Amino acid sequence: MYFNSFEYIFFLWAVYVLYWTLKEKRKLRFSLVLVGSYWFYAQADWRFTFLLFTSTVVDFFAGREIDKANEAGSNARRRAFLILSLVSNLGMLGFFKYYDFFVDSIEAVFESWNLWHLSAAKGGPLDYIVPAGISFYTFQTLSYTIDIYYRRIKPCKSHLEFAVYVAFFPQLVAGPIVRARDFLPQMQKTRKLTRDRISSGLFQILRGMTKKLVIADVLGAHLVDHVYRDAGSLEQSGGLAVLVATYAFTMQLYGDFAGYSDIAIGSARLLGFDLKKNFDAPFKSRSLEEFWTRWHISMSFWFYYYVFAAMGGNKRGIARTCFNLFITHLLSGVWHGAGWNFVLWGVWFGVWMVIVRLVRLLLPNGVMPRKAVFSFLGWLFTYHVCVFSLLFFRANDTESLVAALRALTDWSGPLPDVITTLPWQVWTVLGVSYFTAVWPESWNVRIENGWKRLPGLAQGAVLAAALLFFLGVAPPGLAPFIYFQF
Amino acid sequence: MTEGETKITPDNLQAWLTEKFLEWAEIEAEEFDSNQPFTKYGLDSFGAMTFSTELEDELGFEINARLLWDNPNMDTLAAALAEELKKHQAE
Repeated sequence: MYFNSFEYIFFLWAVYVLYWTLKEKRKLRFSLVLVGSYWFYAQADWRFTFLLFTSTVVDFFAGREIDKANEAGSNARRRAFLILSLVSNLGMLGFFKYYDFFVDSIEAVFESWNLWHLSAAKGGPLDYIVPAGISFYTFQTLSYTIDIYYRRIKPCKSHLEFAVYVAFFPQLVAGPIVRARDFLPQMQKTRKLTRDRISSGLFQILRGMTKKLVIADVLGAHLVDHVYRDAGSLEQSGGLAVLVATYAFTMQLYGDFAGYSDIAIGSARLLGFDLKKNFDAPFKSRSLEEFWTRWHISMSFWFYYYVFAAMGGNKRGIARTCFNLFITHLLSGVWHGAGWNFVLWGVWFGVWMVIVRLVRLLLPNGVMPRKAVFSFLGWLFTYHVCVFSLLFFRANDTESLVAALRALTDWSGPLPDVITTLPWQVWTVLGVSYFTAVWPESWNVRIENGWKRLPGLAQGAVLAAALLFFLGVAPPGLAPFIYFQF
Repeated sequence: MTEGETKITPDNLQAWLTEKFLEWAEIEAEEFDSNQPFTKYGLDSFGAMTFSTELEDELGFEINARLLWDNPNMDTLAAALAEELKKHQAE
């Protein structure tokens, strides 16, 4: 069930109505959210619910045992249960997400050495689909056991509340990755359905739908998919079209994923939960480091907190800092997907982050002078490192990647049809989406405040008009969210 | 904040914040100058992310990591955070 479907709107509405009807009957409310979340997840494939259940049971148990060992001062025991949590979560993730990639890569090596018969004897790939959201909820439950291990939080006492934390449908499939210490305390609070909460939740959902249906889907269907269809279409398109399509894909990916996050945050807000921002105007970033504090914030936080900092962060000298940065970004690339393109994407960012860190050594106190020209150059550089990283994301295969790179160096041909015949509406979407992505934050606040001041009836009319507008502009069929594949 | 610890107020915030930062940066008080940029003591944007989370846990409200980036030394950060704390306590 996609967020951008009528099915989801009805589902959310039903859960919302029942949830608030139950008033302060906390157990019933949370049971409703849990059943709803498992039902939501089962829509992708009911068998995946067993993995979700396993992750929940193992980490609830491991968390409790780690805490007991913490209290008893038994280092060996607490370590053993942390290892249990790590092995079960990463094992599940590794097996379901990376097994086929690993087998395919090994087979390719054997084949290139003419030893294919040996590889075939080991059994081929399993060819199953990756369980939806597995990268997100395994990281979420891992953060829980790791935080207990480091005595940052106490374990959750209620099976039910922990199960809701793991399976909470608004953010189950594609994040934001929520840490237990941000979520579980909210379950203890008395919830009140205020006008402000409803208004703000609906606004987030409306904003998310706009990003997904008007920006991401329109740019994807009318421009990006044509140019990036395959290696042949990339070669025919020429440099300008590939460049424009890559800029458009950057905005498509942002609209798609930030849109998903907005809908998730808005849905959670309607149920009385506050999730942190997952995107914060990333295209305003003046440095790569800043970019990672603005783009997919919950994931970058996870990697910096649980990987980079755990490896020593930047406290063990410059060589070790660079190594830690590189490994963190490489792992982040691998986390995104089982494919060499994602490995290359991680390497790309890893290398640039190391270069930026080394350049900082030359600057006084490691900070770029606060002058407009440096800010602009920093922005230009950061933006283009990000845009070109997406070539690895979007190219369907190595052939397409090579074709895209080749096309970008060849600007000799005439303007391709995809550019000359591109409807003005698509150009408008591209231009307006970039403009709104970099306009001052105060404008967003003003728009949201304006929305909140509208009477309920007027808000309803805006929602109905938006729905009609979405139906009018969105390409036919439901375009799945790009991040669902991760 | 655990029971028995001093309540953090806008007035004692800078002292508390300095203590937290020294702990985070693993440096001694005599090595630290509140006028100098945090970057001198190893705080980068990723450090800001983790440090702000630790502050959030103790202060009990959300702190944008960029608050540390935009207020690059202890004096300015303490002033900015004191404003946030006042706002939060007023709510």
